[in-house]
Parts: sequence; structure tokens; C-alpha cells
Amino acid sequence: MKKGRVEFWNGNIACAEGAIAAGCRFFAGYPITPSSEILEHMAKRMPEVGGVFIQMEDELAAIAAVIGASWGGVKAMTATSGPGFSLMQEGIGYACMTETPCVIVDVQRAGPSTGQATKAAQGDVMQARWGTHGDHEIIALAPNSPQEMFDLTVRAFNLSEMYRVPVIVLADEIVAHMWEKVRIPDDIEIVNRRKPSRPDEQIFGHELDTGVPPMPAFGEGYNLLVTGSTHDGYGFRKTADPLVHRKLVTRLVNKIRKNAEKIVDFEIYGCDPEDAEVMVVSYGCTSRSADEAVRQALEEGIKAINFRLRTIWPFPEKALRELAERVKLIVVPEMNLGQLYFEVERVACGRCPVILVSRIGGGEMVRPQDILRELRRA
Amino acid sequence: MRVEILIAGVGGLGIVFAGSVLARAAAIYEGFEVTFSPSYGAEARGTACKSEVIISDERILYPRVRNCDFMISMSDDAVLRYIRFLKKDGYLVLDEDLVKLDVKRKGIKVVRVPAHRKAQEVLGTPQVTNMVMLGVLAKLLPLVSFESIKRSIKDLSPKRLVDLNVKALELGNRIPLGD
Repeated sequence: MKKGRVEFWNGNIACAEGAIAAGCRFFAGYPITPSSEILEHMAKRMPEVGGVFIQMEDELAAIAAVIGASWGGVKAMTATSGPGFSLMQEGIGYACMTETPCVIVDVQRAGPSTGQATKAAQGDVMQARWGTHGDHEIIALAPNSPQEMFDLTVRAFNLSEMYRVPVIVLADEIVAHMWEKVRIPDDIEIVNRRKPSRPDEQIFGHELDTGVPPMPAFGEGYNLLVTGSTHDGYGFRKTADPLVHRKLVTRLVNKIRKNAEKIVDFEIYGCDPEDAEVMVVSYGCTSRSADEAVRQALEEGIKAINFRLRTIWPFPEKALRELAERVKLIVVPEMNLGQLYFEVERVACGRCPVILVSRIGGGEMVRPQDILRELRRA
Repeated sequence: MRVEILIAGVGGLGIVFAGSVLARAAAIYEGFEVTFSPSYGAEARGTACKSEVIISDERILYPRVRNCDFMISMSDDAVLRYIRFLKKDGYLVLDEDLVKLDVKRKGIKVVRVPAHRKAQEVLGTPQVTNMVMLGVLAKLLPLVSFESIKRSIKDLSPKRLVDLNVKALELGNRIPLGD
């Protein structure tokens, strides 16, 4: 990284600036705590960078506008929190089916329903994965600092452009409202969607295509048909043909599954993973508690690591399975009553015990000592 | 090195603004690693509100205050809620009019200042009590210079309030701390 510059930002501002750095030039949203500063910042910044900002009438309209903008050839984003994220699920499914690159930021707060609007939680992990109906694969990233609100929003755009999928930045109130230094490199790697090279190219995948087809924009001279119904490579609706549906949806799922190893991103803090005896699996704000717990455990001579997920979906199955072979115990701290915990248990598959450390309500973080207590057991 | 500062009171007293001024001064003008976490209720005014500022010379892992070095309290409720986080020999800075409680805890340093009253008397508005309190804190916290806090106020205040906020900071800095 070159020298770059340093800013003192909260996570929401860092997220908005990351989006702009990645090339986002369209933002549509409906304000909701604790994500509102993203919208507020975009309202100021979009006109400055030649982009478009629209405050929509609700979240249904916000996601629809974002999908439309993306088909207009612009990188587009929206930001919301739990209740709004629920409303966006149908649109997210439409984006999956129509292979529309876009970024949805969900700053998690305590639910269900209106819950505790200003207080942090991590209750949307499974909603990010399965909130929309039907077979689909999604990408969700989990930042743990304002720095990562910037970095992972850039990555979210890059992944969405590369794989033509909606990508979710699964943040939480704590990282969104926390202020820290953010280092912005001079050059940031940007990925742009692949454009078709011929006018007759099938932009929803030709016969033998198993990957990511090219994507034109409206107004570029293509006869574009975009539909959420099952469609062939040209976009023609095929609502009863079993083979077309099978081929399309299998490709949509496989373009993520088969590239999972390239998408997956994690960080390990603590002792040499080869020597680790106990492991924490964490993400988002809770990973900061986990890092502190592991630091204290190391001081006590416990060989511990924190396996921190920066991509939650796809889930880093291979890496986790290998570590589960080696350690005696896995601790999963979450600000919910168990969501990723069950996924970890599925992958550990009896290789070692998996313990959940929960804390919900009032936005209180999982305490390092509560994780440490479990690490001492092994 | 890890220094933890908690500024607590009720919404509307400028708790979050005071935290952001201090945090920016420490991060941008003093070059430290800083984590600043404001926390407030669903209502804009009147409910419990706090600013947690952690200053360190290395990467900050856990971003919450646990062993507080300096606690500024502007309501009785804030004292009751958070005094248990104050470490032994830590400073508890109270506004003597906003906090009526008799603090019984031993082994801490209690500093009572008339910030609210002075702001009203000298500057004609109690709205800058937060900056007066920050001026008091600046005397106790050599890590962040008075000049850095001033620059940070200039960055963050609306133009029409820069002078008033700086004056309030200076006013706080002149209040004698007693023993």
C-alpha cells in the first residue's frame, strides 16, 4: 500500500466513501437507524462526484431503483437495517435471478421487528443467507471496524461486478457508529462488469456457459429482456421448461459455490494455527471481543486463535474443517441466540465440541471474559 | 498504553460532541490509535447517553470501556450506572450542580466543578457545559494537548459556534481543581 491518507471516520461514513472509491454513482435508500449516516453522507457526496442520490418512499422502492440503476450501467448501492432489509428481500431475489450487480448494506440492530432501534445485534446472519426465497447463493461480508467498512465495501462492489450478484455488507450498529482512523490507499483495485463483445451474445448464459455471462446496459444497442421469471440465455421467459430452469438456477448457484475458495476471506489472530488447541470463530463487532479474549488466553499460556470471518457467505467450510480436526474446542460468540453457531457445528461435524456464547439486548457486546471462560475449559 | 475515558450524562448535553472532539484530537493531532463509540437512546433528548473514548499507542482490540481512567459525569444516573467501571485511583469528574449524589466509593479521585453554572454565568448559555468539562479534562490528561483539542473543535463545530466552544474550553481549563 502506498502512503495514502488517513481520515477519522465512523463506520457509516467509511462505508459510503468506500462505495464512492469503488465507483458507486447511484444511491437510493430510505433512512433507518443505525444506517442513516450512510444515506446522509451519500446525499451530500453523490452530487459532488457526478452521481445520483434518491431518497425513495420505502425500502421496496429503494432496492428496485438500485437494480434499475445497475441495468442502466451504473454501480449502485442501498443501505438499511433489519426491518428495511426484510422489505428488500424480494428485490434481492430479483437481483439474484436477473444477475444484477449491486450492494446492499445491512447495519444490524436488535430485532425482531422494531426491536431496539439504536442498539446493536447480529441477528440477520441467516436472513442475509436465506432471506429471499428459492435456490440461490449470495455473498455477505462482515466488517469489524471503520477501516473494514471502507475496505469491504470496495470488495463488495468488486465481487458484485465480477459475479453479477447482489453482495451484502453485513455490518452492525457497533462498527457503523464507532469512529476510528481509516487509511485510504492511493490506488484501489477496481473490478468492472464484463461487457458483451457481440450484439447476439447471450447475456444470461449460452448453452455451455457455467460461469458469469457478460452484461450490457440499457441504451447500449442491445435488445434487453430482464425478467425475474425463468429465462433462457437471451432473456426469454420459459416458465414451464424444466431443463431451462434447472440449467439457469444451477448455474446461478454454481457460479458462487465453485468460486467459493476465491471469495472466502478470513483472518487468524493468536498463536500459530498449527499449534492451536482452542479456537474462537467470530465475525463483525464480536470479533473484537474475541481478539481480546484470545490475547488474554495467550498470556495465560492457552494456545488459542481467533478465526475471524470477513466473508460470512459463502462460509469458509474447507479452512474451518481443517482447523476443527486439530483443535479441542470451538467457541462461537454472537450477538444473537445462535445463528452462525449452527453453521460452525455443521462443518465441525463432531470433530470437536462447539460452544455458543450469546449476548443480546441493549447493544451490549459479548464480553471478552465470557469467551475467555470457555477457552479455559479445554 | 491504553487510556479509557467515559463521558456520560443524558441526551442533549453534548456528550457525543464532547467525545468526538476529544477522539479526533487524540487520533488526528496526537497520532494515537483511538476508538470512539457514542451510544444514545432512541429519543434524541433526555435518555441515557455516553461517549467511550479509548486512546492507545497500539491496535485497539476490544473497543469498550472496562477499566476507566477518566470518567466525566453529568447526571446522577450516569454515576450510578458506570462508577463500577472506574479503575482504582481513576478520576471521576462531576458537574457539581448536575450531580447531586454523594459519591461513597473509596480509592478514586473525585473532582467537582461548577461547569454548568460557569457556562451560564460567564458565557450566557449552559449549552457549552460539555466544552467546559472537556477543558477540565484537558488539565488532567496531558496525553492530548489543549491545542489539539482546540483544533479539533475548529474542525467539528458549526462556524458560528467555534468561538463560543473554544471560549468554553478555555473557561474549563481555568477552573481550579482544588486538591
